[in-house]
Amino acid sequence: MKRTHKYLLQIGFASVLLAGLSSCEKQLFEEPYKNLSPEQAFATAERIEKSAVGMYDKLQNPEYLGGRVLIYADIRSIDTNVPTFFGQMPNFNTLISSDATVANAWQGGYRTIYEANLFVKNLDANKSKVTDAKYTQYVSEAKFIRALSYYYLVSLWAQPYKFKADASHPGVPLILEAADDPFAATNQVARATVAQVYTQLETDLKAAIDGLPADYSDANFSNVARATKAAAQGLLARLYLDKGDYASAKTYADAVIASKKYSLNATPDVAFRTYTSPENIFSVAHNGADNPNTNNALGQHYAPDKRGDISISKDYTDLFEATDLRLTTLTKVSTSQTWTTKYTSVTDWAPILRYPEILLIKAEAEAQLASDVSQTAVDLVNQIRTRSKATAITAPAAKADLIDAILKERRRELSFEGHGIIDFLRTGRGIPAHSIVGAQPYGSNYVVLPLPLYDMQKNPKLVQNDGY
Amino acid sequence: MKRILFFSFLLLLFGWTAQAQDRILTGIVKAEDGTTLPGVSIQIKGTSRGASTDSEGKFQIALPSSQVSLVFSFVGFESQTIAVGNQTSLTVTLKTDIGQLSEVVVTGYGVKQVKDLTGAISRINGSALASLPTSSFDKALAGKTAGVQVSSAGGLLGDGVAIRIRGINSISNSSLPLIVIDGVPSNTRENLNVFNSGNGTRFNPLALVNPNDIESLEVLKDAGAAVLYGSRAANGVILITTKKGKKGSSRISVDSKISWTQPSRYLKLLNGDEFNAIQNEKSTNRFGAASPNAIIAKDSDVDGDGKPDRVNWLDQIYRTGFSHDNSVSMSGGSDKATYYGSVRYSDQQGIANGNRLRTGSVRLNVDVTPKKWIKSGIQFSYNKAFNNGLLSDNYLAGITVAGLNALPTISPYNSTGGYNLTGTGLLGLGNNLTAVNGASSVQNNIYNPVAVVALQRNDNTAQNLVGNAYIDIKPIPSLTLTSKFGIDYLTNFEDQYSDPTIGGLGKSYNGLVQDNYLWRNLWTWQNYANFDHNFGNDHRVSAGVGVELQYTREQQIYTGGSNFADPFYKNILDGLYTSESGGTPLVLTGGDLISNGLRGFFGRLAYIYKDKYTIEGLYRSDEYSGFGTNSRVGKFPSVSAGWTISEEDFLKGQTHWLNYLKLRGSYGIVGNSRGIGSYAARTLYGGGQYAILNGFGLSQAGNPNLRWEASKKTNVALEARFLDDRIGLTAEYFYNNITDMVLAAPVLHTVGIPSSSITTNIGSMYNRGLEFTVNGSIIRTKDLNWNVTVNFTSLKNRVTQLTADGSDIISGTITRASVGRVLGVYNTLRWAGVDPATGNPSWLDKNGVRKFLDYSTSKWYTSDGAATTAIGGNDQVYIEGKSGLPTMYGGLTSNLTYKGFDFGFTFNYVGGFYIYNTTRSGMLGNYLNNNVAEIKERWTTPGQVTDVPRLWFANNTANQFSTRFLEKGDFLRLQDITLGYDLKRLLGEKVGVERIRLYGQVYNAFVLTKYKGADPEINSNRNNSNIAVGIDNRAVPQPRSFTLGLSVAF
Repeated sequence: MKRTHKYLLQIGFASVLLAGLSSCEKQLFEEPYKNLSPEQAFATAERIEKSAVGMYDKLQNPEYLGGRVLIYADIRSIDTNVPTFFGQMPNFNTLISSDATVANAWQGGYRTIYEANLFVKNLDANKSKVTDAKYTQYVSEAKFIRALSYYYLVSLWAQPYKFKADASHPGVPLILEAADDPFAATNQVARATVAQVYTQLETDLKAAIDGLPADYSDANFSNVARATKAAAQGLLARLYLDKGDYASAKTYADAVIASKKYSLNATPDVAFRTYTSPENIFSVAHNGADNPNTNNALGQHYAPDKRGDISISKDYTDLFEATDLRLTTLTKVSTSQTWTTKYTSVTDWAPILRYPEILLIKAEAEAQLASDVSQTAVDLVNQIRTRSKATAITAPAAKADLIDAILKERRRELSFEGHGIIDFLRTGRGIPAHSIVGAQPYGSNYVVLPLPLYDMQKNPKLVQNDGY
Repeated sequence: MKRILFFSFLLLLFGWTAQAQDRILTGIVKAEDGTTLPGVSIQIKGTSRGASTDSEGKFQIALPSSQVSLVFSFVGFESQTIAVGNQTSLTVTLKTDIGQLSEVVVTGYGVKQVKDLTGAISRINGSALASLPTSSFDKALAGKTAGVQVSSAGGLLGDGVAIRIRGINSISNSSLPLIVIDGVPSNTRENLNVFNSGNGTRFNPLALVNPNDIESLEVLKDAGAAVLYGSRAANGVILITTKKGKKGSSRISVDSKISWTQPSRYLKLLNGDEFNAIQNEKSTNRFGAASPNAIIAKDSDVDGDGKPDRVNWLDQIYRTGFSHDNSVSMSGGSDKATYYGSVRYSDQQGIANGNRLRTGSVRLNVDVTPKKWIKSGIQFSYNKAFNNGLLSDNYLAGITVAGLNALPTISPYNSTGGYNLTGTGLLGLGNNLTAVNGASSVQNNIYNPVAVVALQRNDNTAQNLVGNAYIDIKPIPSLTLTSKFGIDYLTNFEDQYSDPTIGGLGKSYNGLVQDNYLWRNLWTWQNYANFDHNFGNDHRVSAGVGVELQYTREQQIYTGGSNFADPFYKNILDGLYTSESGGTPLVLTGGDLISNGLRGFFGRLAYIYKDKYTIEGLYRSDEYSGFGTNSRVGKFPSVSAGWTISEEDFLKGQTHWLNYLKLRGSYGIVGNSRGIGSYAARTLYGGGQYAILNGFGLSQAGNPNLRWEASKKTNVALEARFLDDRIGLTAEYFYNNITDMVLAAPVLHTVGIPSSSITTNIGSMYNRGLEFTVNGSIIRTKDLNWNVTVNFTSLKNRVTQLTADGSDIISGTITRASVGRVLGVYNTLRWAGVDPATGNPSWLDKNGVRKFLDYSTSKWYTSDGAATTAIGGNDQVYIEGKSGLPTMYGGLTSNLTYKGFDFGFTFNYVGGFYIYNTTRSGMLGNYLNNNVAEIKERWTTPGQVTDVPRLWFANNTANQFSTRFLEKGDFLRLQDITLGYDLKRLLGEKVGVERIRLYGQVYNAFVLTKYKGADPEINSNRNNSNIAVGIDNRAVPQPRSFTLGLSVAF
């Protein structure tokens, strides 16, 4: 009897185990809680819209257009003091190809480009789920994001367009399609020439102009935070200025002006406090819930009550007369150094295109196109100056002086917005000696960044920039 | 009352048996250390009659009048036969069985007799770990056993410990072993803290384990031993068995110790006068004596005491920490049930100001055997720790960077007694020149480490509930069915406060509190059957089958608050903060949730012939959710065999000097899945928020073929004991060939996928080497015993295959995995010294051409003075054979007992590795900050031969990564040295205690090394880095502790 009990017990025990085992199995392997598969992310029109937004999320790359790439253009120029936070980035000769800051920025640029390419690839596979209008808009947004990312890559890693007459000097590798096999040898792409890169950007931006909406009926966000027709036109105008194609630069600057959607704010600080003010054409948006790793935010780098890595130079403050609002409202002195107040918070948007730049592009184009001193250009410059309570200029005697005045006005107006070294190089000027950094003449090897050692070692088709 | 009843019962019993006997012998049985042994079996030789010792080790036995011999036997001790004449009392001392042949060891999913072992298992007694004042028991394993290397990331409490069993066996995955506590695999989180990407303050959950509860620790090193853990066994397995009560005994132990802890070595820094001279030489060399910038360092009187400030910052950041650790345990049991329970509270102060760890633990282990065929038990422990952590290493605001850089001519306090802080929350630099031509003269922000520690908070509260319940059923004597359910529930509340007066987060946000709550639940259910049966006298079969299910779910909730109503408020309290920055609300919340599952089936079959030949096959298959759909199941077989040569007739009884000789070997394949993410194989879209818009973006590029790393392990060993078991020798050869290594395979940046890598099985690598362990029982007398154990491991590592294009995996800038080379090989510039004529630094380019940098012109020239191109990234070369990975290590443990005294020490040796001393390169910098004393050797006059170049303000080219800062790390450490005395010898039996041992101990007594940094046992890249293992970037040095302890047993 006792023995029977024992076996019954054991059988019971075993049955409980088996029942328990089978019920546990269902729970063991679960689908991710926080991720979707690519198929799921493109399953419906609503999700595709969100995947399109995801491209801008990647545009916020903390090492790139989240703000740092703008900083790299400026700290390699003369309007900031020489910061120590970014390694050798501001120091030219001592920068080497294994520099991590350089590699991170390069990686960040191509990461953004990949997301745009990947979005288009996935969208094409799910084209039937969205309207034609939406399809066109999304593809155009992707092209704008890609073009914008390439613009800073080619500007920082290659000598300027006019470095060689036919721009046949090395640009950057053009990757226009998301790789199916990231390890394939076909990913070893050689550097396109600067001319080829610019041609591609022209093509992309022209297509984007056609396909992008003039606005998104969302004045408080998307009209500035997402790509618009004017954003693409403005970037294209900038591109033509680099090329010295002043007629085209003027055409596209005029197109932005003609849209009548943009105007100068009453004072120059408004654009940096109200991110969607009438003069903001395109910015990379951030907010308190979403910013590029607070350590990498523009405000963190520039604001003295944040980390304050970058103070601004006497070269810059010396450009102003005492009444200029850009001096009085957009700079301040703290702990015996001068700082820009364009960025005060980790939530500041990264300004990419502002209406004053369009006016100054037009001014420069007009000045260049005119056979003598362009009064239109003078008027445009004065539009900018009077807004900031700076004394209006009178037409200088020579065309070259006017151009010089325009370029100075660009520094006053657009400094710390990513134009620094680019403006010097595209106009054939070297970087003057400043602070404790020696002068870099035009044509110096070190005015362009090295291609990262990582890519150099993995891609035999890459040719390093001279001097590195 | 009960006790009286019990004795009455005994008396009755003896009263009855005495009738048939002629005389009574009483006595006591003790171990060599004098502790009494309960439960020792005593048998009259040649009869079945016997007795056993009671809870106090005493026995009473009735003997026939004729002369007899008594056999005393007890698990873990050598049996002893004593001829009894006509004495009436007897004291017997049993010797520890060196071979422990009759002992069982815990193996995977069961136990085994030592003599049956065919795999490589090392055993460490818990008592060897418990006495050391480390913040987690794993750290105390250093030097204790062959094949196991333990190194600390630094000297902060609760910091991670790298345990490497037979080398680093992975590149991109974790190389830490699986830790199994009482049969339940513990969670694989190495660090519970997540802020600062987990690199800020770190907390190793193993610090929660009460080392006093550890009975023994088994290290499974080869496939033969570990294969039942299948996909988790490649890095070895550490099985921890907690204490259980002993039948027929009851005991209370009280362990109490106090420790004083100091840094073992300090860096030598400049004092104030030296500092001023050196800094001004930097600027004068560059700008000329006439320049207004010639003098950058000037005396200041920040604290307002009327004298120029002079501060030794190391005294400001380090201290003598005082710790105490008290625990009480109680254990006992009867034939039907045993119990062990313990409580512990420890309060440790680290060597760095503000670093403190308080831990409390309780444990209860109960085993009940109501019938011979059924046994059940629970093992349960709850542990809680409150850790006051610190930022150190790479952090500018961390105590080491700030404390080392801070100017020795600047006080931490201002004239009003407050902290010396600037408006931006940094250390005020007094009269020193902070900017030269607009460029900051300080390279990186210098924080006030005293204020940072005093005002800010980096705390975490960890709690852990570990327990299991099991039931064993024996339907027939040779078959045991076991079902075991275990949980490991871990929570951590991480709490960081940044003060508004300190630069960085606090200043930016006007006070910032960040809190993260993490909870992780792991359950395991194991069901297995073990069969062990003798067929006749010569044949034995041992077999087992089982299934294991494991599920882990981890969730985190993060929140924060900023812009506090008043600096008085330092916590998230309703209505007292606004959380905004520059007018925009900051959203400081977040969360994470992952889960993963593992299902395994396993079986083993062993055949043993005459205890002479053993052959065993084992097999496990595992399915893990992190792997690709195409390869989710992994299969792990092993085969092993043992031959006890000394049992052969040609040896048995033939030699007196050879007592035991065994040859054993194993081969098997085990896997590594530690460190593989829950969804590692998948292509994933994740959150792609763009400010106010929701979005999705690619977060991971997947690989559906992702599978386990396969580690093919071969092990051959010879065990021998000589000279009456006085000398034991184990020699093992191991070869781990790791294939299908999971690598974050680097993809060209231009491809643009997330993190430019895809987790892929592409690499191969091997670790091979020899292990030797020699035990010597040098003196074995009644009063004096001296045992020495030496272990030594040599290790050779080679990476044999990496990515398809053969390119290196680079981690930590200068360390790499490279085919044909040792893992972690350095690849950097070659330093070529200082030009005695000019004081300019020089390096070799990739072709070996020496190039000099002319500081004054920023131009480069060769030895003949000709202009040349700059030294750059292309000139980096492999520094062949040099890596942070040791090629040999070992330990020596000596224990000597003389009457009531015991004296022991452990040496730990690690050799054949190189450290990149980033601390030194940073501290020889040419900006305005303190320097190491080495800078005093700088070049000053033509013809001077030195290795420190001419000073040149704001040019740190000479401090870039190069062999200049690559140093040999070999060290010999006197890990611990202990002297104890059992006061009972003095006080006698009448004190009523079993043992009352008083001891003094020095931990980390000294270290012999040529390394120039604070400590050669360092890794600023944490415990789980496999490539960048030898980087010293301002880590906190290892502490030295002086301990006084008291152990009392009742």
